[in-house]
Amino acid sequence: MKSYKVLFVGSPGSGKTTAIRTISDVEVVDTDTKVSDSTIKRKRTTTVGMDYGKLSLGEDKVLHLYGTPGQERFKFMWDLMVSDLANDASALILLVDNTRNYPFRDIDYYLSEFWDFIVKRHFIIAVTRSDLAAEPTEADYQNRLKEKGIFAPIIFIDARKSMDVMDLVVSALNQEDDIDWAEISHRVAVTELKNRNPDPNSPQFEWLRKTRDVPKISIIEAAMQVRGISGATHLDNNQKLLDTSSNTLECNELFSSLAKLAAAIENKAPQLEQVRNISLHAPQKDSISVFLEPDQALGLLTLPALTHKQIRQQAEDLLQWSDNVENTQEA
Amino acid sequence: MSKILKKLEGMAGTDSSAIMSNKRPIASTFDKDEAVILKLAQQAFTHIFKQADKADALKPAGSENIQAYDEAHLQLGQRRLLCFRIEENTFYICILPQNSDIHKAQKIIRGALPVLKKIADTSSVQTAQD
Repeated sequence: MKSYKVLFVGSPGSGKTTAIRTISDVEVVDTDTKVSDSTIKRKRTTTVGMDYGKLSLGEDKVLHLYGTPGQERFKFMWDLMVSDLANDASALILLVDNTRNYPFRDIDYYLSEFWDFIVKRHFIIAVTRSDLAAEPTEADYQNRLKEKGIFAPIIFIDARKSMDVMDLVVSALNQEDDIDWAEISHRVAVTELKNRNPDPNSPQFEWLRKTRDVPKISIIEAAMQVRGISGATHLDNNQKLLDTSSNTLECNELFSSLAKLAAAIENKAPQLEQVRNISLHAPQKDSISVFLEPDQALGLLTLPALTHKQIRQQAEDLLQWSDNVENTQEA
Repeated sequence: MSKILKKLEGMAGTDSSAIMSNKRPIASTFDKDEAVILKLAQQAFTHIFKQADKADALKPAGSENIQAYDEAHLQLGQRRLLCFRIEENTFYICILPQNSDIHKAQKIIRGALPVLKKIADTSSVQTAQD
């Protein structure tokens, strides 16, 4: 039996689990659990270990589909997968959620994290949710990769559609010329049709129930559901208050004055890099952090036990998912 | 004194560092090219702590821990400037390069604060005698 492997990576909610589930012949082994962080803004459950699915490519060939957890706090799983489980994978497919405010930043991040793995394998970028956000366009992505000197297929997909995901798989294994892709695609399409009306007692039905639309909540509401965050304030590009969980004036004024300071530094010393974060700490006292983007800022009041890495990851995802800014190509 | 700062940098994984007292460096490993960053950092951190103290002062008495903030970070691109307030107008400022372990740097510098305070005190006594 000849085995092939493909690894799906990408930000939380980019569609990794859905893509694997869409084409897998077997019930996907997932490690989904109820969301307990900023991902609540996007979905009810999230992968905490890994996803695994399998697609038969004929009598003597099989494709193993692996998906990493999206959150950076499960990075140990990324390391485990690239060094062991999926070390012999033929390709890495990066799923990029087009509705995130700074999707190019995700590409830069995952390129940097998986670079050693990518250079030896096929690398494909799959853009998801473009039905909800038309920009950046394919040309924008191509220009961005060109600037970075990277040549990779960019395929816009709907991770819920089997034929779209099959496009990725065909591209990932395009060097294999003895696979009957027409037969496999037909089989996958038939399975997809069958799954449209699943038995209410089946795992497929349970999956659809879990992934039903998530009620829209603000980034402040999402932030306040993260364990360890005790206050959050969202500011616009002029450091004006958009939304806050805190009615205490002094805290909001502090967030605003720190964001203003960042703007002042950029005006005074334009030769320096952009101010991304300002934070204040003391033992036994809540930390104060302001995360800055060109078009918005997020202030967080967090318990002292939360590490910088944990705070930063939550803040970055919240800023990627805020609704009040235009989808931008800023990195 | 620079030797002590260098040793601390090696342990904490930081690059250049300095002890600033009343806007002037009393010990520094920042080179000439980085002097502008040090000056800007000193001004920014003075402002940050001032704003934090102002916010703390506005809180109702007994509403929260009265301890003042003594550590501030300023992230410029991928680099991070760390500042520890040793005394009212005395700061230890250092640069943490990209991909460094922030938690480790915080822990080590915090552990070295009594030594840094001693250096700052010694220097201020010498300045007074001069």
